[in-house]
Amino acid sequence: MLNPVTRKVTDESSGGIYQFTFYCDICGSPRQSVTYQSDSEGGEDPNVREIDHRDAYERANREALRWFNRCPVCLRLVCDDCFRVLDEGDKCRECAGGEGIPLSKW
Amino acid sequence: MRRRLLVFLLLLTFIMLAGLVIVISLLGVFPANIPEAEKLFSNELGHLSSNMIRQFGGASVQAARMSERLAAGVTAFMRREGISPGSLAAHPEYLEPLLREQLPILLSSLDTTECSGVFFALDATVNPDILGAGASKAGLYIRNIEPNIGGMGIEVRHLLRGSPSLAGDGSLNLQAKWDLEFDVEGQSYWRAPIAAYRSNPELPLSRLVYWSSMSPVQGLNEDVMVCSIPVLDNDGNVIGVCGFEISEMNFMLRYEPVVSGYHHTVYLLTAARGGSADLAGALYSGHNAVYGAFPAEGEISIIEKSGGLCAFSLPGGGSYVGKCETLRLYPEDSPFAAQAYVAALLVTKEDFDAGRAAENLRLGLILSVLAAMGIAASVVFSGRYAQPITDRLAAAAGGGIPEKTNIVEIDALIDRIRELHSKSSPLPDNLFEDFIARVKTLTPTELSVFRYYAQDKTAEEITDIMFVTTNTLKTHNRHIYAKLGVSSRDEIMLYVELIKRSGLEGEIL
Repeated sequence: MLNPVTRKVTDESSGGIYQFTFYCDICGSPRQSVTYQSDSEGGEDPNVREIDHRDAYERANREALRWFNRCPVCLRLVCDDCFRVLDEGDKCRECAGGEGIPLSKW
Repeated sequence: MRRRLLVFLLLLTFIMLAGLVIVISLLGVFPANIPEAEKLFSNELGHLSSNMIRQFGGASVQAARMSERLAAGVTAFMRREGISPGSLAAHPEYLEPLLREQLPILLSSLDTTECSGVFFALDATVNPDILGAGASKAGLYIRNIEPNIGGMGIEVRHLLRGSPSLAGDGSLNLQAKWDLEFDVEGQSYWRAPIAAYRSNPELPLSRLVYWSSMSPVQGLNEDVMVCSIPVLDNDGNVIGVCGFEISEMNFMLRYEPVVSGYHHTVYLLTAARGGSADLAGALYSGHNAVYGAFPAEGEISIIEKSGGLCAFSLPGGGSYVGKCETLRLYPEDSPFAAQAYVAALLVTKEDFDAGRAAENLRLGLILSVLAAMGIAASVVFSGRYAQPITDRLAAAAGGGIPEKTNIVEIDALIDRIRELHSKSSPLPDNLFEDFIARVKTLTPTELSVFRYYAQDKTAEEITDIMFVTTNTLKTHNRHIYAKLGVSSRDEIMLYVELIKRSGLEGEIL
């Protein structure tokens, strides 16, 4: 199983509907993925479900990369509120040491 | 350019006017080149009449001188022969030697004039006892052999009156109409000047010159004008009459009328009769076929029409057009001053109308030539004028840079084309100095984003590459736009493209 892009991920999949929630590595604010539905004809087959679940998980991880900013210092994925745009280089708020302002404040 | 256009307009206007005048001329609508015809006739009439007045005036003056010379010669002869004044008629034996002695005076006087003949009639006859002797007068009448312009001298002349012995030396020929003496019965050339002298003895000799169309030679097959003047002795007795003759041949040779455009012109001199002229005794010159149709007797009526020309009509038919003027052959204090003559220059009406038509046609042809020249000039000039413009426009349309034309307005356009053309070429380096300087103010992250844009990356691609969210990228975009002074990604791309074309991409990428 692929390691999640964020440290915390929850799986809300059920049946043939797969959905995951990723959390900011700093503040834990969640971001839920879109739902993925199995499109194979063998939706009731557990093996098929396993493959579909893995595929959906990978797709959700790739999607999650766009929801979060990776800090070039600590490599954590953080939300926009925990990311700081600085002249000397963008980083998370913990690596920025309190400098900068949240993106929502720009 | 304006001057050239003005020349074109003037040429066009001239051509249009010329065309209009051509049409009017050919249609004969021109208010008749009558003023032109009137001017031609007036000029020629004035020219002929002034020459004629000079000839007639000269003859009058010479007649007075000849009269004085003859009077002196006769007086000297009579004194030498012991003949008392006034008794010449009683000595017919002296008439022939007397006349022979005066012959040189007549001949020399004739040479000084432009006349065709000279005469001297004495108030005496060689045969006083015969019937009709009272009207018979001894004398001399000599005529030049025409054609001869007076003053040129001639070796042989005709003797019409006088002793045939005078023709013995060969300088005079007896003419077919020769007779020994003059018959002055009813002849005004004899009677009128003598009567004028006796009525006005105080008048000087020059005022006693009399002009008539009656020839001293009866039966002469030619009309003449004769001036006669009394010859007086020292006591005021009338010795006789002398004078000069101007023959019709002389008149015809001397006064040939020439009027441009009219070929059948006639010039005539005759006595005036109120609003008409007496054709009897008229002298003619010009086209024989025209005046040959004039009757020998009668009057030609003259009506002055508008435009200055006169209409002439003959009794029995015949219409003519021309000019006329009244001539005075006598000074105001002459006893004959009331006698007026008419000089006329005329053509047949048919000839006049044909002349006008020919003139209109000639005018039309001239204007046609001028119009054709104007058209040709317009074509040439317009071609030469338009050629540089069309050539340069074609060159510009073909994408090239046209050469200058020395036409101010066109050259200004060409300069503008050159300016625009040069803008598509490599731009000067200093045009992007500001932009390049601004790029260098970007943060490392902003510079990375700028360069990704320069590499034509999409926003989505850039977020994937830099592991940032769309909001983070938008924030960087705002910062970049503000620092570079642009308002969109397209502007950034335009700058990048221009900088690349300038070869300066190393400064920013």
